[in-house]
Amino acid sequence: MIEVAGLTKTFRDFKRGPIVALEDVSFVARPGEIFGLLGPNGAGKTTCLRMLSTVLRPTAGTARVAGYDVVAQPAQVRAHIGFMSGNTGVYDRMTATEMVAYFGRLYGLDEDVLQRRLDEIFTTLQMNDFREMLGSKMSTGMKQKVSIARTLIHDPPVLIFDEPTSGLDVLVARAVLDAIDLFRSQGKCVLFSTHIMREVERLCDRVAVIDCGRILAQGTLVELREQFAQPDVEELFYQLIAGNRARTGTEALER
Amino acid sequence: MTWRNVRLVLTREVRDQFRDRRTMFMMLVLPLLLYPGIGVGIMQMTLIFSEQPRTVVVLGNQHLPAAQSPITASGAFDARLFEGYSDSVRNLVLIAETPPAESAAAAPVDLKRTALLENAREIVRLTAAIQALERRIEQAEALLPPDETDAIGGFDDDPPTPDETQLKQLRDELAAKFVAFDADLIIAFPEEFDRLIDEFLAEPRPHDAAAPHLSARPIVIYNSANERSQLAYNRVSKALTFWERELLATREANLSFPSTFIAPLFERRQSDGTSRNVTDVAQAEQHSANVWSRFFPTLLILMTLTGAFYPSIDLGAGEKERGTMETLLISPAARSEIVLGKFLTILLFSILTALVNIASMGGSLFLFTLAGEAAMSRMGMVALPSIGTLAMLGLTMVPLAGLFSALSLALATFARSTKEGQYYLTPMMLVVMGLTIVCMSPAVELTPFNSVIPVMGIGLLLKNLIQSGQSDVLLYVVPVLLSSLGYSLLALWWANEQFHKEEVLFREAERFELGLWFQHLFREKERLPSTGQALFCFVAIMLLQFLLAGAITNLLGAPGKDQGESTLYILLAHQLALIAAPTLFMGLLLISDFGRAFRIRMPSLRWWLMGAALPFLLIPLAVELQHSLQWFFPPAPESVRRTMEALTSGNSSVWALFTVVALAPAICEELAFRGFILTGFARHGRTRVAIVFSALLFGMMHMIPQQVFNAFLMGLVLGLLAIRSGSLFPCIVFHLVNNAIPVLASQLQPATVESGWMKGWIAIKDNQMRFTWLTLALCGISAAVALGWMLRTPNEVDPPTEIP
Repeated sequence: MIEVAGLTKTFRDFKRGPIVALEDVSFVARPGEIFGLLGPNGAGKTTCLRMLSTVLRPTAGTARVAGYDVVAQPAQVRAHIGFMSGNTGVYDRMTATEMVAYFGRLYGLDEDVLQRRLDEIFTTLQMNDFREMLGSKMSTGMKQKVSIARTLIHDPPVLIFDEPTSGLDVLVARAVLDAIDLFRSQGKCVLFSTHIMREVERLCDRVAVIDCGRILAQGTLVELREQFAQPDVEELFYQLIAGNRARTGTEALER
Repeated sequence: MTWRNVRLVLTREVRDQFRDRRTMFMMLVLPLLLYPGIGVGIMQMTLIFSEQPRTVVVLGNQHLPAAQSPITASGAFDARLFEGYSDSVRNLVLIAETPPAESAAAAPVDLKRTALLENAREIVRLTAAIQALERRIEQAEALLPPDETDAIGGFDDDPPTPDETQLKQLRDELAAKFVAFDADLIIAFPEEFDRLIDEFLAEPRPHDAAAPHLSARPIVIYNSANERSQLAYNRVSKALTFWERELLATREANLSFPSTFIAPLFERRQSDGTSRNVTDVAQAEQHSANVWSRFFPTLLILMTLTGAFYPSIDLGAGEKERGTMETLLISPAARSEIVLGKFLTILLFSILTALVNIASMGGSLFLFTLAGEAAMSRMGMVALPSIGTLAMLGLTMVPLAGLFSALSLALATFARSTKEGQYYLTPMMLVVMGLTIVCMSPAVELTPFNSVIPVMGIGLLLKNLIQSGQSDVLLYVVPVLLSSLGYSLLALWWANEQFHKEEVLFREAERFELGLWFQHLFREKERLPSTGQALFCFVAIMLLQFLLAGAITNLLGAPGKDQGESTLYILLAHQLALIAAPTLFMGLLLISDFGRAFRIRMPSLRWWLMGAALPFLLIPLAVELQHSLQWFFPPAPESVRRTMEALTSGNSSVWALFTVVALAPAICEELAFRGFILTGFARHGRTRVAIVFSALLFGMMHMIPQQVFNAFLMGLVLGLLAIRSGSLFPCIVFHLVNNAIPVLASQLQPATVESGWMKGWIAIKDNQMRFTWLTLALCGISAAVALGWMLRTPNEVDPPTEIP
């Protein structure tokens, strides 16, 4: 499970001076649950997830993933999560099998366990057709599947997906969402960021709406609909963000 | 650190490189094609540009004696004159005034030849006119009173005499004529030269030396500024010298002198062309060693660098560019494991590339020699170095490749794209090439000091290993290898640092805009200097010294002034204008918290005392350490010695000396190095690293190797003092006392030292203060206690930091 409390990240930017990318973000995602992080581009979703995956250090606040602290025990955290984002690419000069097996070995899997897991995952994700294909020859969908296979190889209790369907066609996107649904049923804790409302409606148990580095609202979709008296999720999302930007004086939505 | 992970990263990266066609081509295929290609190219070139014969015009060959003529009937130098020299020496075309009888009858009138001879005669006439004029001027000068002759030799303001003007004109004309002349050299034999020689050979009276009749000797005209002409002269003079010896020998025989009567004292060439008393001890393998020693280290160093260059870009910037960096970072492998795996990969390819290149070069040379390339075999390049030497080469290559690999990895990690990577790595390549070229120079030898300079140490060691393989070279193996290993570890540490920095790994594609940058710099001043600004401050100080030191010396060191006094002014101006001014300027312009950045703060009394007392404990140790390390450093440059002499010899007061040598540097250098620069380096809270680096820069500013070393040690102590006390003042006191002691000591009379309380503690040797063992032991113990206490004591105030 994931417990985030007061997570803050400040970057120094050459032009704009210090930028608060994430400010005082807190939420909890439990096992067997899909937690959606919902926000427009540049809201701070990726920064938040990068801190959870330990590649960035928080400026303030704490985060525990699968019971380990991201600052104090980064190696343990990395061993217990499967992380995928738009920035975790696939090696061009490795085949699908080599790529997934390489990470399996880095996770310390024994060879026989590794082979069994490989076969299992490749069958579940219907990847057996391109097992021996080099990364440079793969389509976007194939690459995405390889990335998902990589996140699953060590059977982690926590999975973090940063916009996993971006750039995919309907068929592959649906397959990816089905897979994520399957992981929930296996009792995993899934943290899932997106800006697509239909995915949220279809998958998420609970969501946090995030913009300009701050959480604007969180809860189940039912709770949110009631709280803001808006049955349409997309409209709800738009109103929350437009309201926030009007308050804080940041640029209007229509840019 | 798990070796399993390092091995996994390493094997993956190696396989990745082997799958990359471009890398494989650069590293394996290109060298295999390159050297045979170069060989073929050279062969082609030698065929096309084979050496042209040099043209020599011979005037008056009809006046040569028939019996022992140096020129044969067919119109060439007699082959016997060139005996013992290689064939190329004989590569001369003679154009004789009177052609050999048989060709003169047959050949039609050759217009070109006629013109050439006419020009040659004109040049000879001009030369004769010049010589006559020169004699006339000489005679005129000889008649002048002696003091005026001096003036002529020196800077002569008198208008030139008409003769001198004419001489210059004639010389210009001659030079122009010879440039336009179509041959490389002219020999003119005088009329009745044959009769002269007959007399010389037969008559017992001494050759009339008292009245040298210049026209009775052959004239040789050539242009030494022209390589072709110089070459022709070398060959002709060989032939004529040999001919002269022959004539002498005939004279000896005719007059029945003993053969040793006028035998040359020096070289005596025998009839077979060899020489009895000049022995060339060079053996074939030494020739080959000489060629190899020049060629091989350069190639090895550059190839090792090239081998590190391309894979490092692929492994660092390439990984970012292809979007797999984050994939790797979220794996359980620790960053240090990733760095080590990547480093080992680059190291492997670096060594591999060097080996493939050398093997290909050696192989090509060997094949070409087998194919009978005569010129190459004479150079003896085929003979490979011995197995022992090769093993040593392999050993030295590892730390070298390590240094290059780690540096390349660090730079390539910093780059965002492969293109950017090439931008960062090219300057490194240029620096390495510069160092390698310095190593090639025969004047640069392996000395203790050179042996610890990065890259150069290895280059020189390789050169010497191949050249001699003597045991004295082996003395240097340990320092060279150890220092190189140290440098590679330092570079690896740096690469690892780069890999731990978020701003390096996730550098966004910001567009660099100069205007915005300036705005940011001046409008949104930061509290403290950044690391980059600290480095720039040092670079500014060094650049200003380089650019303005000469100007200051010219301005203040006007002739006529007292030497000591002007030296004082120059040194003071250096401190104020070149060190304090840029530092304070940057401080005022760039940062907002001036007081904190420069540590302007009252420390407690104990730090004041520490600053004042420490130099007394450390100076004896420093002086003796420097004396014991004298063998290690190159001698100080002449200019430094002269400055020191000017300072001490001058009649300036002790106070002036104190101000310039102690007070000014104490304030100016401390502001720069323990103020701006140390604060900039320690900004992220890493004080230990900051102290070491600021001390390194402080050392480097002193330029002269001995002082660099001394200043580095001093910088370490001063840096610690600054951090612990949180104030610049104890550092200024330390620096002041440290520089003042030698000034005061120079005022001491040896007699005072010998008789007073200092007896037994201090001695004066060769005008220098030296210390006894007792002093050293006491100082050593107290210094160790003081420094130990400083290391353990907590900082009085937190050093100014800005942790992001």
